[in-house]
Amino acid sequence: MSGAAIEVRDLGYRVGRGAFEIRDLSLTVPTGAIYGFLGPNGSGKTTTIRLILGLAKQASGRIVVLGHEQPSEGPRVMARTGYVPERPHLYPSLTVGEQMDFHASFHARWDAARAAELVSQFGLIRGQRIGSLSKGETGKLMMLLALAQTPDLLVLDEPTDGLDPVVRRDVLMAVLEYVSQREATVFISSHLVHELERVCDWVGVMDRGRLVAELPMHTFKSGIKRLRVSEPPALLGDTPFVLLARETGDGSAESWLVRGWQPPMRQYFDGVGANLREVIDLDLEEGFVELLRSARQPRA
Amino acid sequence: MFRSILYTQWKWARVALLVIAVAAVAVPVGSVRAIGGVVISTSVGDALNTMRVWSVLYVLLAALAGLILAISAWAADQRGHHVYALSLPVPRWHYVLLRFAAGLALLLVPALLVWLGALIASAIVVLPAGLATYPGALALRWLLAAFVAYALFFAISSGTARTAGLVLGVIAGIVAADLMLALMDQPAVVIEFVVSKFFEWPGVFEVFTGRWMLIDV
Amino acid sequence: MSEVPRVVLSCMLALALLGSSASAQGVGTGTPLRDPAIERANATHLASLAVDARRQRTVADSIRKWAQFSDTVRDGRIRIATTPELVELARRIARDAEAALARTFGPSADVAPMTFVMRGVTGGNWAKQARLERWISDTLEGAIAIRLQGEPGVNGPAFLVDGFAKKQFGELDSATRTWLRYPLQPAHDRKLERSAIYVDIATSENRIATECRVGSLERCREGFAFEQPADPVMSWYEPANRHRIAVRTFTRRRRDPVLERCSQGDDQACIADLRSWAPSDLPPPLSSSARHSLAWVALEIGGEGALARLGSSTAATVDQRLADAARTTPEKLIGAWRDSVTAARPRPVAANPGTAWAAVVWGSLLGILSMRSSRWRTR
Repeated sequence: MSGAAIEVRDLGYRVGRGAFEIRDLSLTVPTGAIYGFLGPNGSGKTTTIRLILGLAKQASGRIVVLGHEQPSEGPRVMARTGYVPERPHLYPSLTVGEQMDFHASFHARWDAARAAELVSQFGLIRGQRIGSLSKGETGKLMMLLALAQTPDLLVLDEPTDGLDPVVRRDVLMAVLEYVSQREATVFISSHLVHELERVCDWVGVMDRGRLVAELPMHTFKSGIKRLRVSEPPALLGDTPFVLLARETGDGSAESWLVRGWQPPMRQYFDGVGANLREVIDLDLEEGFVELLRSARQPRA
Repeated sequence: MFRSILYTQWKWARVALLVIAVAAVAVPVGSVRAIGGVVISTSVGDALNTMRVWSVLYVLLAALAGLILAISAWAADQRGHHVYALSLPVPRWHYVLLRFAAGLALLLVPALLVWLGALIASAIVVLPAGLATYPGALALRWLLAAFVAYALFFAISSGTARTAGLVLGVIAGIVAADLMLALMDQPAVVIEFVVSKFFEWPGVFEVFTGRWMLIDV
Repeated sequence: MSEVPRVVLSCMLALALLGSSASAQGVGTGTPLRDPAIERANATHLASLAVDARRQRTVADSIRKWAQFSDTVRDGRIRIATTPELVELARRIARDAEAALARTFGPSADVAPMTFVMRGVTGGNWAKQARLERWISDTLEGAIAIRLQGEPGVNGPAFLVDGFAKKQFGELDSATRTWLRYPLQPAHDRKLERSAIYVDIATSENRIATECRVGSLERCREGFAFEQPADPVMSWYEPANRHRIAVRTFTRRRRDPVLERCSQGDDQACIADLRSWAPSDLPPPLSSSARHSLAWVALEIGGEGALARLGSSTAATVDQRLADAARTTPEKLIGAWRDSVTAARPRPVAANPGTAWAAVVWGSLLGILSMRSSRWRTR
């Protein structure tokens, strides 16, 4: 396998003898990338993350993280990985300071100065019990712990879920600041597409246990368009773009969802005798929704 | 790492440990006071009977200490579904060993207090001929019994729900076997047999049996 | 069958009356006046008829009662006569009782069998129950009535064994009976019994008992008091013992001036008080439990026939009789007894190495098992 931060091949997972929750999953997170892992609720994002970190055992496939096989080299991976799970996993009866000390004792690369700086930046109080922290404060603390251990890889599972916009901004800013200083890789999962749009340079889309798309963010953002086509041909032949969906509209017009659109591709419609009436830009969220819809339906 | 884990377990168990610590000193001193204090005011036979009654408290205390320390070792991790523990950069068996050792270290505290209480009680009582006090032996036996209880409950707490279900299933099977025998009008001996194996040497609970008396012949 | 005697009697009385009336009236005999002598003879005859009838009624009653217990169960030295519906229970009780007796008194060839009559509880008429039990013991010499109550499967064998023990006790000579004080009873756990005796002796405030425990056979012999000493108050007790024994009864005899002085420390007063007691009321240095345990040691050492030898021994003293039962000398018997009691010393709390190792091994094993749980295993 190459020098990617995370490399997953043909991953399969199921609980007991039930149906497979994850099937034939393959993804690659380039080193230094901020990889957005998108998908609706229940698509298998958290399960995939747990498998990548060795918190669960895969039924099939291979996982290599930072050059180490999972799950056999789990401790080596976790020594270089900062993890913020979906749900808080800290000890409620400890104070912020005690939790930080506990975490520090397990991580040789703990940066006390950075930790102190983040305490101040996030407005946390060392003597406050974790059980009495608000959701936002807990989220910040988990991020603090992950960043202060100076990881090479940050795995963030919906880190801003349920947080107010101010806290979300603080958390994401801290991540970006860290990445800019250390060239770390970030693997961040979310169903808040608009949030990832601003920070990620790679995106993988998950749906129903499968990866339906993996591509650079700019390609994802710019490449998905909705085309209004009148007098569409019955048979398409080879198209220069990827046709994701084809829907009938008013009268003889159709609405096409395409990926990889470039302006010179207008000539294709002249060639088939159709009329391209309009090219509509979709934002990331619309593109994400359309992508999922097309993945769930058979091709036209 | 061990210090951190020890600190967390002490923090989680400190209230219960305090109660156990008080009991550890109170039981031996109380048992001596129950037979009259400095000079035994009852007959020697009655004194020994009273000691035997109080001896049950040592066994209960040992089992309770083991249970509380084992549960408190895992309660916080169980609440978080062990996600935090599993995401720490240590081999898993190492983490379990650290937790086990921390609980054992905490167990030394009430064991030492049992010894202290027994020494105090031995010092304040004037014994008639034929009787002796066994403060050291009592404390050592207490520690061994608490260790077995702690290890057992620790193993159950650290295992999966499937393991606990298996254990419960075996127990239910034993009870069911005796019920079947009783319904067939046969002597129900399965429970008796199993229990005897557990409580006779070298059974796991043999250390809990015997005379737990600070003052004895 | 029960009505026959009554009918016969009635008829006879009727005939007798008729005859008397007839003869008084001169009917049938032609005699105008009754002769007093004949009247007396008639009355006597009638009385004897009544006695006969009562006797026949008693016999009929006995036959009726005995007919109830038509089934007999035998096991070793136990014989139980009972009603048909209780046969299975009687069989079980006899088997359990015989097993208990074989364990404690030896094989059944050693002793004569005993008969029990077993019946269910029939009601609350205690007078009737008592009459029936009296009839049983009168009719079958030596038989004992068992009335089933509570848990017959448990109480039945215990009752039989108790009855047997009492019978054996009754067959011993009077000196041995006096020394033992009550029948030898089988113990569920002989070792536990001896442990209790060890504790008694070890914690006894009596010097004789203490010296017996630490090794003096002579003191043990003295403590058993095979023969009552001339002055047990002086030979058995020290002043502290005398004070304690006498003062134990102080609350009951508070106004006794001698006892009052004894309670204040006057040993002479204590001596005087204790000498006023019946000798059997003075507690010997070694208790009745200790005496019984010595007898059991003798039976155990003697093995088969020991109980019979104890009953048939013509030795002059109790210790010699026990020694005859054990086929050894009194000194060796007492030595064996002391060894058995010492060996039964209850183990104090100190854990022996085996217990300690077992605890350490189990604790470690459980610790290792917790590390091997599937949650903590990588693969």
